[in-house]
Amino acid sequence: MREFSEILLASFLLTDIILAGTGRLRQAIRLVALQGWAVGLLPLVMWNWTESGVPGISVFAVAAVNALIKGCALPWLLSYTVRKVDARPELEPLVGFRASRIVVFAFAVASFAAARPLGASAIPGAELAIPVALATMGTGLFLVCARRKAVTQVLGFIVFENGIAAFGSGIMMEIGIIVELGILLDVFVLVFLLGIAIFQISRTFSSLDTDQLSTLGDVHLMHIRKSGETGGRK
Amino acid sequence: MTDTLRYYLTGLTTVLFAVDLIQSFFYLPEADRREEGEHMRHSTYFACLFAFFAAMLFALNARSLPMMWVAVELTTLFSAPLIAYHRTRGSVEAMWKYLLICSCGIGLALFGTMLFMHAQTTGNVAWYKAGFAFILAGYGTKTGLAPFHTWLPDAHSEAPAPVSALLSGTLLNCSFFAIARFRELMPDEASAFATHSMLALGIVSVLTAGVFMVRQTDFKRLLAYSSVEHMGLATILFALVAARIPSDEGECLCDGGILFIALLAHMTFHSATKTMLFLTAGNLLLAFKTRAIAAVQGLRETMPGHSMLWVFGILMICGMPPSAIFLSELALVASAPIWLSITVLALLFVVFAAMSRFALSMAMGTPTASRPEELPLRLVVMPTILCSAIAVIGAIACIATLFM
Amino acid sequence: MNIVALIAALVAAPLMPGIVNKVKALFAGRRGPGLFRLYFDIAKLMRKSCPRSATSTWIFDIAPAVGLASTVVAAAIFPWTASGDAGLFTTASAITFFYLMGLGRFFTVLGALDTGSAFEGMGASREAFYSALVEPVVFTILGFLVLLTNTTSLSGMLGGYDASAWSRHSISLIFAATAFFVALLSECCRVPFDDPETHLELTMIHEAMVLDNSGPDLAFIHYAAALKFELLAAFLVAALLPETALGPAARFGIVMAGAVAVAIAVGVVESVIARMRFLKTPQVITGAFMLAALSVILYVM
Repeated sequence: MREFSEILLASFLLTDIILAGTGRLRQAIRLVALQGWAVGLLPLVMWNWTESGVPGISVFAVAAVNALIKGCALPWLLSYTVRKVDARPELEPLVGFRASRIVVFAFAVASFAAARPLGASAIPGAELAIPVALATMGTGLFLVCARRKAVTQVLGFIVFENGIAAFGSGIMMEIGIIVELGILLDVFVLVFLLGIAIFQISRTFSSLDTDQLSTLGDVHLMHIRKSGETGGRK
Repeated sequence: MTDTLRYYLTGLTTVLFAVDLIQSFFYLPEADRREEGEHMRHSTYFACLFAFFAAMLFALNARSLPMMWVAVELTTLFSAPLIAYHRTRGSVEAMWKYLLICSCGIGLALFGTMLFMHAQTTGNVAWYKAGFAFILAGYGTKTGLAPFHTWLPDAHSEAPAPVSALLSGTLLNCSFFAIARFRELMPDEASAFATHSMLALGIVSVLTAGVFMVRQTDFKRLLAYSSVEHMGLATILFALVAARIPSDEGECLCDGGILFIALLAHMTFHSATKTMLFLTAGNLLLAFKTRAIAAVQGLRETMPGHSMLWVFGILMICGMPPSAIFLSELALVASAPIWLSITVLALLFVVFAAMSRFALSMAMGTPTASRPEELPLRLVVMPTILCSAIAVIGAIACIATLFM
Repeated sequence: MNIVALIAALVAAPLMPGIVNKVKALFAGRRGPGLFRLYFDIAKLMRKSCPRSATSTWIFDIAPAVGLASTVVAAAIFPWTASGDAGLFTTASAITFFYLMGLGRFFTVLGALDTGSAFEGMGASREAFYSALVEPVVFTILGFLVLLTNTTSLSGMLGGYDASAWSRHSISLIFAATAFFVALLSECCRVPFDDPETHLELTMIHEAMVLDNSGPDLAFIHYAAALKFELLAAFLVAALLPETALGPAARFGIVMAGAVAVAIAVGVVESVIARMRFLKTPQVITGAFMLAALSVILYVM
């Protein structure tokens, strides 16, 4: 199963790079869904079939719930939101698409270098898990920072969570199944809440551009003071 | 050590939650009356408030480390809707930032937890270090440690007063407790790494808070940055407690036990005083309809009661002697290495100067043209009770220390 | 044996474009030109005369011949029959192999510039642009093969590892192969980089360069292009094939069958996707480079 787990983990890297270079929401959501399925398959693939035999029902349960939530529910939720609030594709991200692709690639390289000191006691059968998790988390955080649209930021957050899950399924047995399900539920509710927040943003601001979400903050505040107004933005 | 902290914080959270709950009953109808625009239904508000409280207790008392993570994440989920109680642009923005930044931060903490648990099974020091770095960044975000604090001033200033008080007085403690718990589990080989990173983060927090306080124009943000400062101080204190760093001369005024008591006193008094201050600030906001310091002047003449509460609270939070924060800061400075003491003292001076300047100008300055609206007396009940409790307990603590 | 294989490969080369076109025709529901179309074309062109412009110099005259010669030499040093066994020359390194093809391309470009025609100059500039972009990809892949087999010689590199490498470095091999496939599409001027069937000078790259050539010169160019395609496809297959106990004939058969499979794959790719805008193609090559670099990183880590 080693080859399969490697192929699956490498597919994370590929989807990261492609995702960084796309502005089309549909395509991006589809890529995230693909990653979700990969997350779902990981626990089964990482299981040591030859030595440990057929895994218990709980492993299958975690895999199924993972795939359902990350591969179906969250992408559906996002595309529902996109339809409802009529989200436009990302046209002018803070960091351009080609540059983002290169940044994500650099993340991948850096995370391989960063994971080296940890290699000594890596998870058996999944040495790739840590660098891939780091790279995917980095991609997610980068997307959260480098994109203007609220929907794309949420997508970035899901990618970030996928990165954590990619590592988590390797040591799932150490965490425990119940906790794993709790984590999943949390993430699901969180994305749900973010979806609601998107609705509220689109209602209050009549736009999904998070550039508009910049009335708060202290640098801005000093700017106001310099221009002669007295503070108080109530 | 963390068990003591756990019981202590559980009690503290419960008491302060009760205060905030009662204040919510007084505050919300007033706020709804004065604020145009729609707001959240009260049933939803109180449901979220109780769920938030439950999640905090769960976070403090969770047995396993990942369960604690789940609980801390739940606190984010339940407190986020509370921030956008009034659906204004600012509050929606603050909620969005809070959700996104804290979720990403807390995600890092989850990754750190996983690394940490794997380290516990393999016993590899590198994994411990990597795990702790992620945990510090992750839970540090939720604790409001700089440079991960950016959500905190926005959320604290936009939320309704009781929620700001809860966020600052109890929520920050919960994630601080998470850091403390992991710190205690670090093996000796990685201990120095943990101490140094915690010290660095603490100093940066106090520094950032000081810098942003000096030119602050908004009194709720001023309080929010004060929370960043005090969480930084608590982090420094805990780093010292956990490592028991002796002072340079080799003789140490305080041993670890006394430092730990100082930490407890610091957290208690910060939480209580900050709760009281946020509640008072909420009242000022209702009366003046603005959070600008420049517009709220001359409280001594227009609102003498609030003026006293405000000035007293600010002095307490800065560590004037009747407050136990004075004792804890004294213990910190006395037991830290000399370079750390000097840095902390200098930063504390900046913070004190900034806060007292604004507090005094708000209390003593000439009143602006707009007169504050009359507030019902019941809004002052809880801040007054808290204020007298702080004064009495602080005084007892200071006198007891004198005789020790 | 080597010579027999080489001759067989040289003879089979014009089949490759035929296969690609046949696959495309089948995809489009047409019968399409026959598999041996290029043989007839070449035979026809060889019988024609070769008019040359009065303004062009001797460079234009020798360019097709140099292109053909360098490609044939590259074919001669390619180890068709066995891994570890050289082609006709024993000392050839992989870099020689790729630079021989580079030499052919260089002269084609020079010849195109020599005509002084605007269209040919444009085609030449684009060709040079693509080859400059693709070079890092190819050399990163070569670097990966060097790491894998510990040698820079072409014959040692191709199939110089045992089958267990496939289970240890499967991801790296797949990434490198994909990247090389993209490089092959670009090197051989296929969709999405260039459409060999287009008849609009503005969009052509390779075909635009040879607008002024005719007769035997054009036949040389067509044949060299077909042979280059076959060589790169064979390189891809041979690099993926681990050291086996097969005899030389079997290995040659596998390599040639693999080259045919690559041609079919190219046909499928050309039927499925459209030609890309010129400005978009560098992104594809960048992607291929990232894949190649990832294969190296995954191997090293």
